[in-house]
Amino acid sequence: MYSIIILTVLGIIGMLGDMLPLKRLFLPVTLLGFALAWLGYFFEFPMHTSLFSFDLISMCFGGVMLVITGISVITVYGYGSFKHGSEPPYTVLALMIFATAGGLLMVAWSHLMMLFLAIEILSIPLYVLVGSQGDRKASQEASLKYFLLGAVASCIFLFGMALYYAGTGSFLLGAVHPHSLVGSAGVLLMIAGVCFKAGVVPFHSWVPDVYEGAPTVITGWMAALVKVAAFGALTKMVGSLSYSVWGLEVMGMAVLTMTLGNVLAVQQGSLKRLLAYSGIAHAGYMLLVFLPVTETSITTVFFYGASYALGTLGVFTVIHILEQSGLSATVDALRGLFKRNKTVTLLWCLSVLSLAGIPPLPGFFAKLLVLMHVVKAHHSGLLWVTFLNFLVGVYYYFRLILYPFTGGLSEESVVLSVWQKVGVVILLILTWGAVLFPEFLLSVF
Amino acid sequence: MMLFGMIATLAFPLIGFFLITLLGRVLPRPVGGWLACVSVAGAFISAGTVLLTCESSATIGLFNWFEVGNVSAHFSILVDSLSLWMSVMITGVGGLIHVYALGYMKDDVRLNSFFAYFNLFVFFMLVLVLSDSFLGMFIGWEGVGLCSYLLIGFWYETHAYAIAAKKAFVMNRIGDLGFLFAILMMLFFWGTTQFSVVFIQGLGLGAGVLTAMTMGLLIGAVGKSAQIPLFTWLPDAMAGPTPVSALIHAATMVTAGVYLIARSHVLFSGAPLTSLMVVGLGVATAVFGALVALVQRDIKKVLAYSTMSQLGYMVSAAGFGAYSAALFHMTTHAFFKALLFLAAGNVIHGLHGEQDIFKMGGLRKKLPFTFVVFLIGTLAIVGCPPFSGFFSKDAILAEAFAYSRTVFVVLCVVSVMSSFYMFRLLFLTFFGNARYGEKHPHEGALVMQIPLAILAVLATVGGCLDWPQESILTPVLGVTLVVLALSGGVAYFIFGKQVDVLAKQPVSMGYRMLWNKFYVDEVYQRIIVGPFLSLSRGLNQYFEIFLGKLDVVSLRSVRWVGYPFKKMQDGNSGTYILVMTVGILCLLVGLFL
Repeated sequence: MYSIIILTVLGIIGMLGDMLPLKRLFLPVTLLGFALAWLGYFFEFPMHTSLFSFDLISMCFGGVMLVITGISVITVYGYGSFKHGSEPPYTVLALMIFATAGGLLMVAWSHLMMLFLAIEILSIPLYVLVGSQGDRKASQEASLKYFLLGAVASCIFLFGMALYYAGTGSFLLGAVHPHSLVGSAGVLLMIAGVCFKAGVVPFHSWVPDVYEGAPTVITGWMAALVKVAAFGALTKMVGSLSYSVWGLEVMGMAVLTMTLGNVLAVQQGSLKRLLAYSGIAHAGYMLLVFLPVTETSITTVFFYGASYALGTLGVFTVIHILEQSGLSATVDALRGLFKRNKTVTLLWCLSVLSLAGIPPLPGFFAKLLVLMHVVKAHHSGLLWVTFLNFLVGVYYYFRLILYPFTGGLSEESVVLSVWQKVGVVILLILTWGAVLFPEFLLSVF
Repeated sequence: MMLFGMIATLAFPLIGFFLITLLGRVLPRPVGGWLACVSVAGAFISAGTVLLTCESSATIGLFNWFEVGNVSAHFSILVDSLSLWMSVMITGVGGLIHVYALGYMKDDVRLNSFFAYFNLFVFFMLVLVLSDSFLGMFIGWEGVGLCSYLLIGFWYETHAYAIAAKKAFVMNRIGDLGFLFAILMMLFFWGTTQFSVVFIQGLGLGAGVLTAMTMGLLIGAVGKSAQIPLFTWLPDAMAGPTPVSALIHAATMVTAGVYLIARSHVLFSGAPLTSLMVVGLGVATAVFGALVALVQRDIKKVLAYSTMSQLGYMVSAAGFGAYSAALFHMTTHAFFKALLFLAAGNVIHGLHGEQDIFKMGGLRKKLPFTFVVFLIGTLAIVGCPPFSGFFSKDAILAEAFAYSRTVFVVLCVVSVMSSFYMFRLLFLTFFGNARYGEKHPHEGALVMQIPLAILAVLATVGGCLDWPQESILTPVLGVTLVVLALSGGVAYFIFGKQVDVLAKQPVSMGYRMLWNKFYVDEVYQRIIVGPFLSLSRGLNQYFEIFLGKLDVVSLRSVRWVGYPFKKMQDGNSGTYILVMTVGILCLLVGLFL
């Protein structure tokens, strides 16, 4: 509970940010708060009540989410001071913190109602943040679309909950086996509701539009945070639900998700759309981990989520830096990046290579774990589909690696504000850390 | 103590590299160089302390790299007399060459990056010898390859140098592929590459599998140690600055192949066929290198071919089981070859970049210090007692005598040839009439002389480091002296007098053959590079249409597959909700299946 309370207080402080004295202390206080929020887990670990359960899953996934938001807060803060002189966008930061509180709840529930509330707490700030670039039509449109579709998804989830209750008479998962058709339908609808957040086909349609419409600083953070939160929630759900009910459906969704994501990513010229589709494909790979749920599933999904978050944050940070230097987020904007800023290019290359799954970057271990999981599940057809999808992924990611080293549109060097530099350096350190010490993440479960 | 010392050994050069890289722009130029020297000196002191204080071997676990399924990789440091001795040699000789480079490179604009690469090289070389798994060794192996590439092409503005760097890189990759193959085999069989597991379980494998694995290792060693057939990069690698040639392409990196074979001798002892090949390749390389060195005109090329020949000595020794003799020769070779290269660097430096020995001559009086140390180096390499080379060569020859008379005789002949070409080099450079025209040769700065002096002492007394148990010292002593006197005399008779040597160039068939290095480069060009290029050109020409079609077709089919999905992605929320609803319906229908 401490973590949620601390984040809420931080969010309220952020809301008042414009009026508070000692504004300079805002960033250190926030980061300190994040650290305390994570430490908070240790004081009450493990805690199980009828509504919450703070266990190892909540602690690990929550830790990743806190790191994601921590880095994003730094880069958003840096962007604010770059754009407005000295005034960072406190409201944006506050909303990000609230959404993170929702994300933490999504991996710390035991009662389904709490899961529903958590999804909403995560979503509502996101709707606002996606539309926070009021002067851009795309941003407003994306916000509205996300809100509409999100509302539908919430309805689906709520309906699933109702059916589950009708079938089992309980709001606790795993307590009762849903023998009835109604209960099983409820389970599927709830999974669908969470899959919407993760961007799984056929609930993916919002992803490209929202990723493109949202301000780029927000896109990277959102992509990483929501994926980790949604898969954390799914991990908690599917472990206690009977495989026979959802196994086949989830397998179908996984195959569709990765194939569609990759096929459409190949054709994109806009960086943000490309990464949106590739993010859909990654969601497909992560779904494979639950087919079936074994003791390695949690490790795999956790490591995959963390490595995906790291790569995505790095990639979107670079795209944002490119936009800041006056270019639009197309593939061509990458041209000549190497001559403009070498550190940023390094971050770009490492992040993209990690997403593509090239050894020894963390994305490689993540994909290896997924493949080994599929091998153990003895689905040879699934193995081939996954493998082909990995190959297609390598194809379009490598195009992105090549561009920074070709002749550029612009020659002037890329300028970063101090906090943006800090963010870039932290991302680089974390990436190298994950190269050298992947065992740190692999051995927690 | 041991843990701390070993971590310090590895940390010093790495920290040096990072400091110089990060602060390269703000540091005044000489400071970067001094920093590099201090970091290597620190590593030397740490490694030396551990060598002196620790009696037993141990494995220091650093951390678990990863454990995925049944494959695991740990990073740990292997501390035994071999790895410690190698570390001390690398950091010691490396440190001296660092100091020398301070003087040699002092006018270079990119001095700081030079020293950053140098420190990084030392770090990776230490990783190579200190790892206790083949995977860790491979990381170091690739790392030194990278540094070698960067340093050969350090003056990349000259096109030929950049080409030489590329050649070294590609040739080494071929070898690395073999090494990687062996590593993958180990991972397949045991899920780990730790020495402790591999060497115990290795002999349990069938002879065929073991032969394949050791062949992979041998290919790796052949690439790195410039043995036949992957040797052509080494002479070209002399394009790098002379300290680089001394450190990387004579004293340390090229001996990594010998280290690899010696380290995995358990595996090799179980694969007689591979061991036979090791001996064959080593002896062939020794002969080849010595033959080609007989006629070369470039001072560094002579030394490069001589290095090749000496490496052949070590590899063949490792092949017939004389591991300690091979490593002993590796150590003394590091001393005298580094000395010779650095002295050659002094000559080149003094003559403002002249490398052709036919344009030198008579330098004995102008560069007396260099002459003395070069003479010491020469006497050491030709195996004149009591210099270090005598003992190490004697150790190898003794074992060769026990192994096979033929190998022994061939190696003796190589020894005679090496003394001939070394004396030829010495006489052409330092004796006879001055042929360098209007230049004014001068000795290098003090920082360049001190390392030379220390190396000269080491090359002289290095033989005391290891007194081989088995020795055919007495008969060899007499024979050696006679041979030395003879070859030296012949060399002096041909090259030492005040004659116009250019006029005395023989132009026989054999000479041309040797001068063109047996046309190996040309043959490779003909039978590998040429056909490969024409194949790709042909493919390009005839398959372009086909591939173009294929490209269009595959893109179209991807588009075609994506078309309905793309249609669904029309930006209209209504469509999206419809898609979701249909999806939900499908899921629910699935319940009834």
